[in-house]
Amino acid sequence: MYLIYETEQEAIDRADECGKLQNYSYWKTGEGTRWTTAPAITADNKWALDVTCYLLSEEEELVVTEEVTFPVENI
Amino acid sequence: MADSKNSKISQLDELVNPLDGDFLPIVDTAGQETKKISYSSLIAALNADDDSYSTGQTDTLLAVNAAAIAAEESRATAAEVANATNISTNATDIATNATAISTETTRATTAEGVNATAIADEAVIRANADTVGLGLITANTTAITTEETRALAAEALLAPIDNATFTGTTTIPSADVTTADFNAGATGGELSWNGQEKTLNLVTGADTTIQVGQELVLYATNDSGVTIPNGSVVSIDGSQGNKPTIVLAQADTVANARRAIGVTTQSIPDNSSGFVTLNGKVRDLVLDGGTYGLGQVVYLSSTVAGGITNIQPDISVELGHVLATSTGGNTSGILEVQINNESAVHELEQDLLPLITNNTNAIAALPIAGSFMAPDHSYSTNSNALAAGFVENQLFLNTTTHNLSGVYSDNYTLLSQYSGASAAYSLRRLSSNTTSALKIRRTSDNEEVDVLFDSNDQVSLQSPVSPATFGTTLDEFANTEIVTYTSDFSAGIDGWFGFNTTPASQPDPVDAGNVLKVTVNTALSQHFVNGGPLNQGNTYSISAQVYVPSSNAILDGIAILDASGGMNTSYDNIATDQWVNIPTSGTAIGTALSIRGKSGTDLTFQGNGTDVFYVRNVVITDTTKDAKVVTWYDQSGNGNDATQTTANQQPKIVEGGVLVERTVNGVSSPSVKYTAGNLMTHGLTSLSADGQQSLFFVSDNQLTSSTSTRIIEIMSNTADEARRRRPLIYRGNGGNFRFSVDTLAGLYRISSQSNFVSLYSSITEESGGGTHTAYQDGSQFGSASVTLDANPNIDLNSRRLGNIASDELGAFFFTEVIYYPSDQSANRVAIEANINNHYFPITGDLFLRA
Repeated sequence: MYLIYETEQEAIDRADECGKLQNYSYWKTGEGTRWTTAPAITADNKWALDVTCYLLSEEEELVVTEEVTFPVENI
Repeated sequence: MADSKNSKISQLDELVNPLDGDFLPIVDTAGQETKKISYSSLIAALNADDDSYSTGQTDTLLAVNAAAIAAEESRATAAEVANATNISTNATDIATNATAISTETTRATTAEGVNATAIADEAVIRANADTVGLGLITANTTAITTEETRALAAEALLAPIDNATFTGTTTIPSADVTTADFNAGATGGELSWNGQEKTLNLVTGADTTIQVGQELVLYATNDSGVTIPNGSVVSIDGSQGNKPTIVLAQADTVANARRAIGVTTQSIPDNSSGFVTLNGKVRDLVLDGGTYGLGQVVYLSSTVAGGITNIQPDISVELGHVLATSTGGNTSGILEVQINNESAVHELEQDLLPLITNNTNAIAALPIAGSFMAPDHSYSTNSNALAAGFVENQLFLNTTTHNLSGVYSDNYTLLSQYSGASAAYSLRRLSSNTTSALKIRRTSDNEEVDVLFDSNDQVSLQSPVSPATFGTTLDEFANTEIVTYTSDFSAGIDGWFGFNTTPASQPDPVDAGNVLKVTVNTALSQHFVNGGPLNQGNTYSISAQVYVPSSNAILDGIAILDASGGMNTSYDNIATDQWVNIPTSGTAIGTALSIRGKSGTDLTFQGNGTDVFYVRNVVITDTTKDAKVVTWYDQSGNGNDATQTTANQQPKIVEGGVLVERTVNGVSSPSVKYTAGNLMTHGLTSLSADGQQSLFFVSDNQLTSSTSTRIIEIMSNTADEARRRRPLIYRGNGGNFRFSVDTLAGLYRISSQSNFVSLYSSITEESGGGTHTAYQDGSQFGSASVTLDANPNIDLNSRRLGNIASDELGAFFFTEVIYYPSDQSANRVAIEANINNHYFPITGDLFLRA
């Protein structure tokens, strides 16, 4: 379950928001765990954030999607 | 009228009707004459004036009489009262006496009956005695006579106690003999059963008891000039009176050691005789447990005359085994003596070693590639056929024959002895400069600590953690259950939200304070509140209380679960008008706790807009006890740590409170567990200048899907460079475990050849224009020509230590990864030996390079 953002920074901001709520080390000491999930670039150059384990707002609930295509890394 | 005769009147009533002419005679006793008074004169006189006398007297007399009568009446009355009392008392006494008489009569009657019975019984007894007793006496007399006859017959057969002689077959019952003395009147010669040793004890009379059949002893004379203590190793130095003479033995020279024959089993003063145990137990020894172990082989000391040591001297005389140790210098030690005198072996070694050295040097000079030479100088092409031998300039030992596990250990020296590694990740200490192995995150509360090495220089649950705020060891840190949430509805709804309900902070219906009041709306749907954060995949123990009023029309039950339906526990037809505990537990698949109203067994119902339930005391305890790796520190000294700061991509080091481990032949080693979506990014940013590289890693491939997944990436992911500059270790679509160093898919092991713990070595060298050779557990499994890339300045943007595909199944375990940007072919065997020695019981040939 993903939220799609146009820019990486938007995705990072949302990941940071969740990370703060989780009280991760990064937000207390400046190092260590920062996010629950990390933004990932999609095949169409947008940014997807896996929010399966996030507490979502009602607005977010309406726009989450499972339809995400990631670029294939060739071996 | 009386007759006229002059009769004497003696009674007043005799003259009933006197006449006036009648007279009353009066005898004048003084004048002795009788005179007469006529009745009429008398009456006249009585009625005359002097009646004052007679009347007064009469009155007086009457008064006196009346008083007397009254007194008598009183006396009579008193007497009557007294009599009545006495009569009553007498009556009581009479009644008592009557009762006593009756009782005594009964007793007497009873006694008479008993006496009568006794008399009758006695009579019967007497009658019986006269008949039965006589018979018994007769019978006893007969029996006595019979026994006398038997006794006389037995006496006739008795052997005398002294100098007894038995004839014919004689059997002595086992219980009849506890001690036999074969030396009557003196000490020694007593033979008795030893239940502990299951044999006979023979007392020698010389301060020694021999367990027959279990000890072989020699009676010898001490002529050493000093007392030989119990437990001393002795040798024979001569003979005296047909007895050997003994002195203290010592393994200082072959000549002295060769004569060692046994251990004294008693203290033997100088010029006295005593026993030396050649085979069997010697007791009462000082063999303190701090020095000696049970079953340990001990030797004749080379430095202390007669002494025992557990350190094998060059000249080896095995004395036997320690059967019991002593404590604090007491003498509870027991030694089993069984001498194996190998002094001759030492003597032979002294003769042969110079020859062996010469031969070894000569053999080492022989380059016989592909052949193996045994110590007997025979050659073979199969090293497994030989227990030990030489190949080229290396000595090898077949470890199936020679167990060398634990012989070789140099954790600290690997990276210093074989320097040049640019990254080294391990769960053991590879360098003395290393302090921490990992930084980990506790999943229950996201606290992070560094994990240091334990006293065995590896990661274990006993490893210290830093800071020690959350426990001093990894075990304490990882195994603590954490309360992650406690509700507080005193001033608000504490972040909970309602779905088809209106949650509000309202007064507790029973107790003081505010609780969460949940009012359902009128929707045909579920009606619930969510709150209290949960982490997906974590396990929880949750407690809460709800209150359902009896005034509800529809809502009569509660379900507690996570927001995605996990940990679902229902409380149907719940007790009303009271707080009810509604615990639940399990693994969360949702991200929040959910408390839902029920109607009957249905979570979905038509609300009425008025039914309510209340919630309070919600406590969420995380019981997961997992710890994940945030940083795997680089021990090479180059700071190329592998890191992962995204929680759901971090691999595990502790799972359910247990350290992740992989086991080989019973030896377990810590390991980092990667599952779907896990990856770490290492810090390598440059490669070697010439394209040569060496990668060593210990792993266990338990991935099971058919998807492609990457294991180690040291490469560029840029399109025009991606097929160069690797190593890329990956699991291909077909399940093959591949080692790629150029544009080709590379060497590989099939799934069944890689799904266990192995040490892999991947060497890319310039020989032959570029060669890649791969090894598994020291054995080469492939070699191929490759094109070396001499451009170190590529964009090394794909730097992964584990990169498990999100749809992968199973797990991949890393225990150690070391990367050299150089050819380590020359050191490969030694590096592998170091790694093998730590992680694997040695099962193959061990090569020792000269």
